[in-house]
Amino acid sequence: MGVMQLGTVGSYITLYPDYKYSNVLNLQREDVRTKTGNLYTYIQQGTHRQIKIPESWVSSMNKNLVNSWWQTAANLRFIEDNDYPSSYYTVRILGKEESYQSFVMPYFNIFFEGEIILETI
Amino acid sequence: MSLTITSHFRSKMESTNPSSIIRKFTFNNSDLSSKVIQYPTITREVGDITGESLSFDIENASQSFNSLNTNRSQLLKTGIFEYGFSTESGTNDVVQLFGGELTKVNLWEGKGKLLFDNKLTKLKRRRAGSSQTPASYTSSAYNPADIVWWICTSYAGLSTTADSSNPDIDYTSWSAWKTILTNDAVLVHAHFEGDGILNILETVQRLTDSFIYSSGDNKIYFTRWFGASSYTITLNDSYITDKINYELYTDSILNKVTVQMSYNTEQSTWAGQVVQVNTVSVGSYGIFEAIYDDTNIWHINSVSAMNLAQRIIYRRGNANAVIKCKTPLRFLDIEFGDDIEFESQVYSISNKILSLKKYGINIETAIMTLEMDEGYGRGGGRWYGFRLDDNYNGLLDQSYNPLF
Repeated sequence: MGVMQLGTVGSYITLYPDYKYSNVLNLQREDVRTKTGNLYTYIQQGTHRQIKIPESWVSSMNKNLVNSWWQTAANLRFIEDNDYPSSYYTVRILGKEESYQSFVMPYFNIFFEGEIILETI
Repeated sequence: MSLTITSHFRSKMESTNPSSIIRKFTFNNSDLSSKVIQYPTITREVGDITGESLSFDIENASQSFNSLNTNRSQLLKTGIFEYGFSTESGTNDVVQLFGGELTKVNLWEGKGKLLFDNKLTKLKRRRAGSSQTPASYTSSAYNPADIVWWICTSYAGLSTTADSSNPDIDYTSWSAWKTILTNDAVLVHAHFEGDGILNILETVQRLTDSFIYSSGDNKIYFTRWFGASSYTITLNDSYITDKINYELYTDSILNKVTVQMSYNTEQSTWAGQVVQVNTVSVGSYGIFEAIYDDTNIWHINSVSAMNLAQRIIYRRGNANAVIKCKTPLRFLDIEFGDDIEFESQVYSISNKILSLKKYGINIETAIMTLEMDEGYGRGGGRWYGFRLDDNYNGLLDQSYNPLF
């Protein structure tokens, strides 16, 4: 199995997700149950995928790169397994605050930790 | 009059898992569906001529709508919402559930709201005649439908096309309405000195015991409950998603009606009046009285005035029951005037014919809210002649032997 990558074409960083990594497809879906128990399911147009990548031991360089992508709302490619690099999601980093906010003790300003939240565009 | 839909649309609409749902919002002929964050709930009520305004929540992080600031002529341009399903061949099979004009823009940073008024809201801004040059219809006996047509086309600027291609007035329902009024010998005079068009239409509703409303296609429809509807849906627990709300109230009772007739505009006097009393209703509830004495439109003879008075006292002689319930988006084609055959085990109601009074379509939750009323329906004295072997009128005696 290959590694997880995020970036732009030709400029990827490798991600090493912690536990609780998730990759979830969100449907605009309504399940409506009638009094007799009949189930009506409406799947509307418009789906998106949300990917949460908790990570520790992130280098200062990668942290700065990810934050710059976040600040500029850059369109990125997320490759879940680079054994299959042509299989990717086009995503943006979400959130009102930057992804990596705390240090891995005692490596002040050397290693960082946090969570990247990506959504397909 | 139910919406016209294809058999494909009906099949998808009635399916419990319809696929390929299409929600399409266009503004000024541009498809802006991808900009919509949340679709509004579409609400209509019988008798509400202009219908409710609708607001679409949109994204403006793309700054797509900043042009509204620089190009304000985009205000009052048309927004349309369509709902439906794509066909196997990839075409859109949709119905228009709302059409309106952009009247208000509210932007806040990356998001915003676009508020659309029904196109017929412009009836509020238009007037008929003036004190200098009144719009007077007193030289002959007029069908109120004709006066409505003239007012809407001459003073409100609606299309004069006298066929089903009229984009403003549903010509089919208007023609049917006119025929009913003709058959009932309803004749009026009218005199307007700058009266608002919307007010005039509301007065006509009242004086003819009719219902004028707008539909998703932005046209005015006309209905006077008469006879059984050509379209009936069956509504029972199989289609109801939540608690059924049952209300019974006396507010709507009218059992003594006075209709003034033949108004003299110069002397401000009436030549006569018709009084009708539903004695059974008065005996049960006491007197609930109304006087119809509008001086802009009035009945010109006792036959016409009597028609209104009798309709009202019988249609509204009894306490009215209103039933509210929620369904999936399974009845998108229903419209005012359609019959609803209602069944509820909870209330021990079976085969009860009700009429649609109000409905809401929540696109986001895929829930329709239906408010049905028996006051406009058969139980309240809907005016129709006779129906053989009918639960309400009476079932035929199966033991009767016609050979003897």
